Order: sequence, then structure tokens, then C-alpha cells
Amino acid sequence: MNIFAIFTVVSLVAYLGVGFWSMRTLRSTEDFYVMGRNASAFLICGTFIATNISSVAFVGYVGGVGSMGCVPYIAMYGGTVCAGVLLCLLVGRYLWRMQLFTVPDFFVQRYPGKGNEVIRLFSTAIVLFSMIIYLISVCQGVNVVICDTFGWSKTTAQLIILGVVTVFTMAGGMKGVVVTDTIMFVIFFFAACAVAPFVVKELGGWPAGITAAASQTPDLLTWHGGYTPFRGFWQILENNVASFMLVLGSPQLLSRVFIARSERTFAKSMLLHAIILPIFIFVLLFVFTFFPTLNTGVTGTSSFTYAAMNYAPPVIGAIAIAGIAAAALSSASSLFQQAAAGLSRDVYERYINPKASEKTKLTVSRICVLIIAIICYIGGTTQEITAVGLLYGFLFATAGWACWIPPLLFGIFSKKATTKACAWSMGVGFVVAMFFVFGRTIGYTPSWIAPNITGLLSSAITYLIVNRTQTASPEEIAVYSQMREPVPEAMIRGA
Amino acid sequence: MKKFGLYALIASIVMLVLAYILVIVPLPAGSKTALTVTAIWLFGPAIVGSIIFFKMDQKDEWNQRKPLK
Repeated sequence: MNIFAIFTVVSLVAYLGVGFWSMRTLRSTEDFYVMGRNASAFLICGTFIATNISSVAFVGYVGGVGSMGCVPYIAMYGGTVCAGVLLCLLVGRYLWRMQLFTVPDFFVQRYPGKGNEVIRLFSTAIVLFSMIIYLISVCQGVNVVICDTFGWSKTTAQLIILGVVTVFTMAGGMKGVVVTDTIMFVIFFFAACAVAPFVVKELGGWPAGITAAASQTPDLLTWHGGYTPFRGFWQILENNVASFMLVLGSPQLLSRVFIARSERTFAKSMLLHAIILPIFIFVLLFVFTFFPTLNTGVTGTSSFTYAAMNYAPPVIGAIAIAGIAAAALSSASSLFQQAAAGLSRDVYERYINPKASEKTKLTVSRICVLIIAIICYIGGTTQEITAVGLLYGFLFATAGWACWIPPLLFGIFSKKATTKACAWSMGVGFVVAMFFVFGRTIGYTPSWIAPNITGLLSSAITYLIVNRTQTASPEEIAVYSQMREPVPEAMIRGA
Repeated sequence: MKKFGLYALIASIVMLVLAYILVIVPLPAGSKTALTVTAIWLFGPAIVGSIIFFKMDQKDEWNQRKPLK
């Protein structure tokens, strides 16, 4: 085993240790699902970035900037940052005051009365469907990285990755996930910052090397990069919208609001996120735009791994390789946690055993993590599912989230929001989004039509049309008012 | 006085300036515009967000005991 594999294995063992350490303070389902609502701003920021950034950034995007230019890739994170600031200043505080456990809880609480049960079932189905298919694709990404880097077999990599993530999520719940995510974020942030200077050195040093390399690749520094202007514009727009939706609609990121100590703590974390994420993205992606000019002969997707192993000193390189694994694992663990929470809280506690004791709920929550791991293992070893997951996992997932963003925002900001409009907009948005997802997959719609944007628009339009025909009931207005009530003293754990 | 918003504002402006110096200045003329706009697109929200956050702190709007509008 070489130094790179040793560092990665040591980091995996450390994550397991953190999971077991987190178990000490785990007493209730509130601890398991939302970390006892006691997370600091730095922890939330760390887990938010770690969940959002997976190994795709170190593999696919690093390769992509070398062939298609850095602007389309870097610019798509503007959507992430904007959505984070919106969540910080406007949306987050309402969600925090509702003291939710999972994202479906929002729809269940905000939209009472007739149709509530449909909304509950539908939102739970979206969580489970999107989390599992996205999880399969993320796990495959980890496998590819680990197999390529260390030469492990696919089964070994799959078992190790799933085993580590399952154990620390089962043991530590949300706290285990959040603390390990933050450690992983620190490692991969260091990885990006530590490797970049060595690549610059190989290019000929700063600024002469950058200037020379940029002169060799002028086309890659235009706003549309290697794409045609139309394709480039559409790529940037679609990716920005997808990034925006990821923050405002994905359960794994939105659920970070629920763990905050206070609404101000959450807002602070999002401001930190808005500063740190662009630094990371610029450091990682800008330098690797010029990597092909070094003529190493390696494929674009292996650029970062090659630079870490060959340009940086061995210890820094080893930490960088552990950083790629960390980026992948952190996304997987958050998806795991959310999928398991959806299964235990939104299925078991609501439909199977609503009167379960706290101890039973906690045990079932842990069993659900194991069930999700088994589903992922089966999905990951079934070739057809793996292929679909890898190619369309993110597309399916964002299309699923697109249909509930309008009801979420209208539910927070409109007093006239009705349950019927929510149910219709979710249903129509989902059907339209899926129509275009399959259209793009099979080829019966033009590839430039973005399923998530069409899903989002159709959901919003349906909501507005149906809501015009309805009048909000006193019950629905009461929930709207409750969201704005002062927070009880007992709920405030510090600002 | 709560100063987190102020520190965040200073940090985001410093990062934007650093991005300009380290990333955009070395580029040849004609290649700078797209990356300058991208840098503002990425760091701009933090600057605007920090200012609003700071103003909200001044008005004590993050006081959780208050009803929301």
C-alpha cells in the first residue's frame, strides 16, 4: 500500500471514530435527525459546502475546464451562492422557526386540510426517489475515483465506502454526518489550495506561467469557453438554475436550516458559505484550465490526481488524494442521512407505527440507514441502474426538487397559499419535468430544453392558476401566521 | 455592537480584490472581461448579503423574539 492509500485509509478510520464519538451525545430522535438543533455557523457552513461539492468537482469539472474553458464551470456556482444568500436573509428564518425535522414536514405543516395526505405522500416519494438515485450516482463516482487511484476492485471499493458511511451515519446520526462533513470539507479545501501552487510552478510560476499558458489557450478564456455562444449561454443558464434549485430545493442542503442553533446562526453560516465557496472554486478550477498545456498525456479527469501525486510533495499529495475521497464521501453521507430520515420519519413514524416510543424510533432510524445502504449496494452492483444513475441521477433529482420549490416559496411568503394549489403544482411540475427528463434521455425532445427549468416553471404557473380559483381557509391562514410568531424563549440557544 | 456582517463584508471585498490580482491581472488583454464578470457574480452576493445582514443586526432584526413580517 502506498502513502496515498495509507492516508486515505487513515482518514476513513478517523471518520468512523468521529461517528462513534458523536454517538455519546445521541439521546433522542431530535439528536438523530437534526443534531439537537445545536449546530454552530462554522459546522453548518462546512457541512453545506461538503454536501454540495462531491468528487465530480475534482474529477469531472477539473477535466472539463481544461477542454471547455473555466468560465462556464466557475460561473455555475453563482447560482449556489445567490441561493445561499437568499436562504440566509429571507427563507431560512421561517423554516427555522417551524422547527422541522425533514423537508416533507414543511409541506405537511404548511398545507393542512383536504389534500394534505396527498402532499405528504408525494413529498416523501420525491425525497426517497431523488435521494436514492442521486446516492447511487454519487457512490459510483466515489468507486471510480477510488478504483482508479488505488487499483482496488469495484466490489472492495463499494463495500468499504458504503460500510464506512453506513457505520458513522448509524452511530452518530446527523451529528456524525455534520462533524465528519466539516472535517472532510477542511481536508478537501486544503487539498485544492495546496495542489494549485505546484501546478502554477509547473506552468512556469506566477504570473509569467499563467500569462504564457493563457496566451496558448485564448478560446478557453472566453465567456462561453469551448461551446458555441448559444450552447454556452444555455449551459451557464441551466447550470446556474440547477445550482440555485439544489440549494433551495434539495433535502440534503435545505435540512441544514433545521440544525442551526438560531436563525442568526444559520444566516451567519450562509454568509461564510458565500465567501468560502467562491475561493474554493476559483482555486480549484482556474489553475487546471491550463493543465493541458503541460502535455502530461493524462486524461483531463485524472488531472488533479496526477498533479497531487507528481507535482506536490508526497505528504501534501496524500492529503489531496484523501481530499478527493472526502469530497465524495461527504456528499454520500448527507444523502444517506436524508434518505434514512425520509424512510423512518416520513414512512415508519407516520404510516407504520405513529405511537412508537422514542427508543423504538431511534432504533428504526438506524435500521433505515442500513436499509438504504443495502438498496444502494444492490443499485450500485446492477449495471442498468448504475448506468442510469451515473448519467441521469442528478437530472432526475433536480427535476424532482424543481416541482416543490414554488409551493415552498409561496407557502412561506403568500398568505393566500392553498393546499389544493400545492398538490396540483407538485403533481404537474413533476410530470412535466419527468416528461422532459425522459425526452432528453431517449431523444424525443431537443437536448437544450432543461427538464428542471421546465418543471420549475410549470409548477409555478400551475400554482398561480389553481390558487386564483381558491380561497385560503382559516386553517391555512393560521399556519401562515404561526410561522411569523415570536420564537419562545426556550427555543433560543444563542445567537 | 454585533460586527459579524462588517467582518463578512471586509472579507468578501478582500477576496474579490485578491481574485482580481491573482487570477485576472496575469491574463492577456482580451481575456479578462469574462473572468472579471464571473468573479463579481461569485463574490457579489456575499458583499450584498453582508451589507443587508449588518443592517439587520443594527436594527436588531435577528432578534428571534420578534414576530416576522
